[in-house]
Amino acid sequence: MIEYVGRRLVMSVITLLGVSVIVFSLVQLLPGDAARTMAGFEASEEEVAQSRVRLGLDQPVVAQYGLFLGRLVRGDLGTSSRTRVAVTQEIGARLPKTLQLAAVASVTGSAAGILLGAVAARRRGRVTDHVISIVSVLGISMPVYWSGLLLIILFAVVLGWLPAGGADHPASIVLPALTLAIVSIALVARMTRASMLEVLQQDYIRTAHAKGVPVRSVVYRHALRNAFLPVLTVVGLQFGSLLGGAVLVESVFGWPGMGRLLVDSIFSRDLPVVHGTILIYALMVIIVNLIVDLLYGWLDPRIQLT
Amino acid sequence: MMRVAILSRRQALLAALALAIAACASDVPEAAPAGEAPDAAAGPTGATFRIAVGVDIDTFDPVMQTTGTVGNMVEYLVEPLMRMDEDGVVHPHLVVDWVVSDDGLTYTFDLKQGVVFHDGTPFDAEAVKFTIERLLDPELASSGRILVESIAEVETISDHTIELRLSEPHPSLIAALAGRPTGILSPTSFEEHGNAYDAYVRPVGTGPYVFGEYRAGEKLTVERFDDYHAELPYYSTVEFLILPEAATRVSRLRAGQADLIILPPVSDLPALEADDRVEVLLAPSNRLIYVAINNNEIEDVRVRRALNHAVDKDAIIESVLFGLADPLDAPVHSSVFGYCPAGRYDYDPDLARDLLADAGADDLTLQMIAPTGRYLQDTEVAQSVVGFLAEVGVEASLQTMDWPAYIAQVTAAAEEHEHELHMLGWATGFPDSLIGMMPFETRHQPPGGPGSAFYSNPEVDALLERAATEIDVDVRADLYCKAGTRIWEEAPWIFLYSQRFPIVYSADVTNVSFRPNDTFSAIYAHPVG
Repeated sequence: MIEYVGRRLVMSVITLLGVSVIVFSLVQLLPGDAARTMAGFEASEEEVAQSRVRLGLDQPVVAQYGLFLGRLVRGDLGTSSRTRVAVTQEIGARLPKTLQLAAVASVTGSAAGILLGAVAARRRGRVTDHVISIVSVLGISMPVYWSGLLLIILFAVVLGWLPAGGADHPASIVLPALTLAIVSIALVARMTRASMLEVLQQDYIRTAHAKGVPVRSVVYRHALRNAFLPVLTVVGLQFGSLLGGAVLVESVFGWPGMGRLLVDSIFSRDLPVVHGTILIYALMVIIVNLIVDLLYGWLDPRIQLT
Repeated sequence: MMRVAILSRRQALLAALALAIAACASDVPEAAPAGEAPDAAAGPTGATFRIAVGVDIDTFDPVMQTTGTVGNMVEYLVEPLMRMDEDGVVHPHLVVDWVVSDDGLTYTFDLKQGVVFHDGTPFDAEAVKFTIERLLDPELASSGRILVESIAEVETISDHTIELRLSEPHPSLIAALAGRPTGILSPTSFEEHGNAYDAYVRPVGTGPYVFGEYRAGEKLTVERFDDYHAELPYYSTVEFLILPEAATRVSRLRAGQADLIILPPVSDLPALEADDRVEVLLAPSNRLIYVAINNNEIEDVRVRRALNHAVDKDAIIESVLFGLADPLDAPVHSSVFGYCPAGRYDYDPDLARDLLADAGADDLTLQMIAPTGRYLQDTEVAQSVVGFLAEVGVEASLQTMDWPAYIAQVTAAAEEHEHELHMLGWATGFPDSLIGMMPFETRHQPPGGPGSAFYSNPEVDALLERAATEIDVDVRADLYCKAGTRIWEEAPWIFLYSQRFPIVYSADVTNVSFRPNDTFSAIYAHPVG
């Protein structure tokens, strides 16, 4: 086990390095000149040149990357070109908010999705199943930007029950988390249903029925547990896209998380912040997937972690 | 729709004259311009005013600011010496009196007494000297430096008297001292609160509110300063909520969870104007939106005039902007000193076609670029312009890109401009043609200047150069009028419109105003009744 975790950690570091190389390269492709953008529209050539030196952009790309790596191993992500504050500080101020949103959305979305998927499998072919299917398709297809705005109008403006964006109220997390969770619910529900249907065909289920185990117990204790592993995969995988959706949701709701920081820094070509934020995102996805894999090993004794 | 009077030429001249008289004599115009004055006493503790804006604060340092809205927020904390009202007229605020030498090179200010900074240190000549010298410091490379770059030396004569010595006459200096980058900072605050000379993160000024709390990306809270040197505002707390999505800001206002918002979605304006629970204020602004024509490529003035006649600006204002703009009749806005009506380019596609035919340019193919998300409805307006040009036989292809990519194209040197048309805006922080007509001066062409149309007319250059240092107000206004008329006739741009700045606020609140530089003025807002 320790060996396994150790190996995975080494892989994670390599993955992060790979991500940093890709991000660094992609950012070079962004049109526009970061030095000019920072210096401003009316800046003279000398001022832009000064800006370029200050941002370290006058060095060749490889040298810049080297400097970046050197700082990274010391835990320093550089300084924001826009605010001149340490990137770790900028991220640190916003990361908890994104984690909070992602966690709430992920947990509620997955829980609700599993429940709905199990119900749909149990009542396969009946009205409930079809309704849940339709809702799932809608959930996957609706753009979060649109559903977010609709939810604000319904719950904040018309009903007045919840805050319209912002994060200044304990209930502020409800709507953004719900918006994100809708997609999660949809994906998890479909996977759960499919997995459950397969499990419900198994011999041991028939045995349980034959033994007289109550139907509810058969479904939720026996079948669901065994159907759970593929679902866990989906939960882990869609965490990545959840983070991506969080970027949009944070913009719509004004939720002060990392997503907004990333968007703002791309628009203002604040390159150190772009690099730093994407690395942290990659780290989060890696950690979540590691946890999922470890859970696999724990949940199913048949799986050998090698 | 609420309309606010726009300054006519006569009014602008009178205002400038009043300023000039004030400058030369020891009596100065009264402070407390319209909308800036309180008409209610200070309210109870806990009375909170919530303002929703769309941009996060990138810096609290007035010297480093480039975004108007951020400056608008910091203005609650830090004040410049002068203050502009909604007509663009500048009034003294932290200054009681000033005298200008006959050669226009020495300004002596009597500072207001009994003013303290938020940290208790007294506002005095030393603080003003420190602030101005810091703004001038080339190491900080402030873009606001241009406001005061004529100042060669600052000397404190006494605790409350300060002398500015200029290297050349700067007739708009008084107006420049209303500019937000010149906000006076407490020198002692640079050693506290984590501040440093080049990293000023927590501002301490003389403003009616004190820095309370800043939560990155979420909100800024400021608290009323009870030792404020002028009338206390009503609200004891003001919260600036950062909500980048315009539709969310409107929802917030509608849900009663914000008292004032700026920049709602343009298409929401008709509904908001019909809604009794909110007031809509379409603040005139000196921000001009135009399509710069590459004057190096399109040298025939008939073609440029044709392009102007080809576009139906009124239709664009009506249908694309929902009335959120005003047509132009000069290369600067009417609230800007030096404005005089220069003419009109009415929508006349037949005339446009004739002019193009005369110039032998009746099947032009042009490339146009435009930014997205920079100006209100910018992409839509650009598309409309392309449509209008097509109707007179000019085939324009449009490419849009985000702002950083865009300015890289637009600020490039002449040889690197691959497009013939590009859409831009130009605004002046303070209302003077010194800045307003900068894009038309040869020496302000890119790189390093806003003259991206590469318009060059030595006659205009001479007029503008003279006007920059002309002390006589009437002569100066006349020089700018001549220059402006000449520029207008030569049509270096497709002059589109001046964009208004929409402010929407709860009908339960009153005394909300604006300045004509895309800022709201709500310090003295208070509940109705």
